[in-house]
Amino acid sequence: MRLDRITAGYGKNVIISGVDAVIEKGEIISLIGPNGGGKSTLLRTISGNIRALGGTVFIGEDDIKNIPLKELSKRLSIVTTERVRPELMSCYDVVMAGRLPYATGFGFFSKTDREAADRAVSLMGITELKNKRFEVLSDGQKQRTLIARAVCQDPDYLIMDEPTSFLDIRYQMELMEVLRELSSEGLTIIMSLHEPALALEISSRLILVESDGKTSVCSPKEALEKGRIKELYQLTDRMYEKVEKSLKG
Amino acid sequence: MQEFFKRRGVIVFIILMLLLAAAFIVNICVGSTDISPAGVFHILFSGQGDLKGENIILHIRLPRALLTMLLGGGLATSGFLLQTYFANPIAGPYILGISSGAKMAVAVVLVFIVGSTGSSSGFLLIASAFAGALLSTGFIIMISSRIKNMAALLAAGIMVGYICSAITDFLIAFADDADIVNLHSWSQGSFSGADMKSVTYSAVIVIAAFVMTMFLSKSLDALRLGETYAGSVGVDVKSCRLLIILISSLLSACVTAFAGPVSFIGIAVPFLMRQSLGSSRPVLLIPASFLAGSVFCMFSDLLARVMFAPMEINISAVTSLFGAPIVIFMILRRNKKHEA
Repeated sequence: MRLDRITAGYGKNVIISGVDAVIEKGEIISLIGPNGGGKSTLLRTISGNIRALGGTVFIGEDDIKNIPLKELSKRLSIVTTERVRPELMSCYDVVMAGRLPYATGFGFFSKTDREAADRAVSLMGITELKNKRFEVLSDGQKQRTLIARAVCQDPDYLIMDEPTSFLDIRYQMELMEVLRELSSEGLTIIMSLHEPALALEISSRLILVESDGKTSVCSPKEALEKGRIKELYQLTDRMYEKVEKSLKG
Repeated sequence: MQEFFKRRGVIVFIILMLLLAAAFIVNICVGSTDISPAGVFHILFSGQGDLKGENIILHIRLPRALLTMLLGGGLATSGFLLQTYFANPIAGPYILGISSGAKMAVAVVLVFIVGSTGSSSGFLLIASAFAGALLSTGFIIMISSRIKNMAALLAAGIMVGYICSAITDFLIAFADDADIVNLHSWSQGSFSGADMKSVTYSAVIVIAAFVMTMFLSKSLDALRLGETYAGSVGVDVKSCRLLIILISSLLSACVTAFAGPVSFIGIAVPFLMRQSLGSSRPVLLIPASFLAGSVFCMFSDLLARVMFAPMEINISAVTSLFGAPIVIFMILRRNKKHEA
């Protein structure tokens, strides 16, 4: 994937500008930065949910604007922060919804579809929840279900907005393990994370999104050594001392 | 679990088919003129009998039963589509003022065009009802794009309904008596005017709309998780929404044109089917709602014409009587769920 001088925002309201990056297959890229900086906006633009105001998102060789939706849905899947409230759907139904791009014209699934969903279900550790109604799950369980949904869509790119939200520390760790495994299989993962520590640990590279929408790409090592986390979140010296300790472990 | 739902689905469909067959037979056999069921079937299958019986069965009861079946199913399908569109189980053609819009347009046509030229046709009625339905639907979409609040949207729909009814009332007040007779009987909502010509028209429209809806079922399935996720699994959300609104307007327009406004079937039936199937999967829910809508409408029409025979009451009175409690029950249940 290649991001070519991307400007993102809504209508005339430019939120983020000048994003340049070449993302290799199997990379894990994390977006970090303060609230309201435009991480979600950038992710929505990369996933084709909103049009870039300027610049181009290339998926492989193709401009994302020219890829038919059906084609795109087999190459890229998403997890958003939006709350979904489906009626009378089981956890497994929600996961299966990720297989709709492969289903028949009326939405019937094949054995391959079921196998893909089963694998995603066991990866995310929600086997016991399969038959529960989605509405009655806890927020963390819902989040894991939605990630399983995106995983079983069998994409080349997995784009997630705050995938760790609602997850307790154990499931955060487990999720990181799963992501590592998937990326070693060739899946490219682009996500925003709240916790710099997690981002530094798992990412191959970071995209820092500042509160005024300026962005820069760097490696986790650079971010730590040059004190860029401090600048990024505009921390005071005292705050950063504490943070640095936890980041360096 | 999976197996359980499969079996449950099969049972629901079998029951619906049996009920539909029963409704059809009873509708044809029962009426103010006594004809034995054997006599009825003799006339139906051989096409001959004494002149009076033949007239009643072939030209009154049969078309009426067919029309009720088609339009009832159409109403339920239309309600299902609107509920998906607005992501709101209480949306329906009657509540959102779509039926009233269609009624107003038909009133305008009946009073001004039919009244002055004296010519009327099924096609003209459908076209005007469709235009009216689209007009009020368009208005509601305009409001809903600005307000995401569900209560405000419903209130807006009800207001649209009032405005349309008011305009209709003005027209009635200033129109000639001769035109009003026509309009009055029609605006009550009744299947009494059914003939084979209207059956043919509505069969074409309802079946076409139903088939189109079935082809949308995969997209509707994806829309259960909201528009963003639907888009990410390859659904062209914009054109899908446009199709949904066009098909549901076409269906409610067709019903309103031939039978007048019929309330509650659009809301109550899809809800009942969702609960009995225990699933919201469109590919099952659409045909189930269609069948159940037919059954509900046919039994309601039967009650409307035999309860106080020979006087007929309007069908909305019956559907409201049975449909409104279902809606209340539904609201109570929703509240309970939110508290839990």
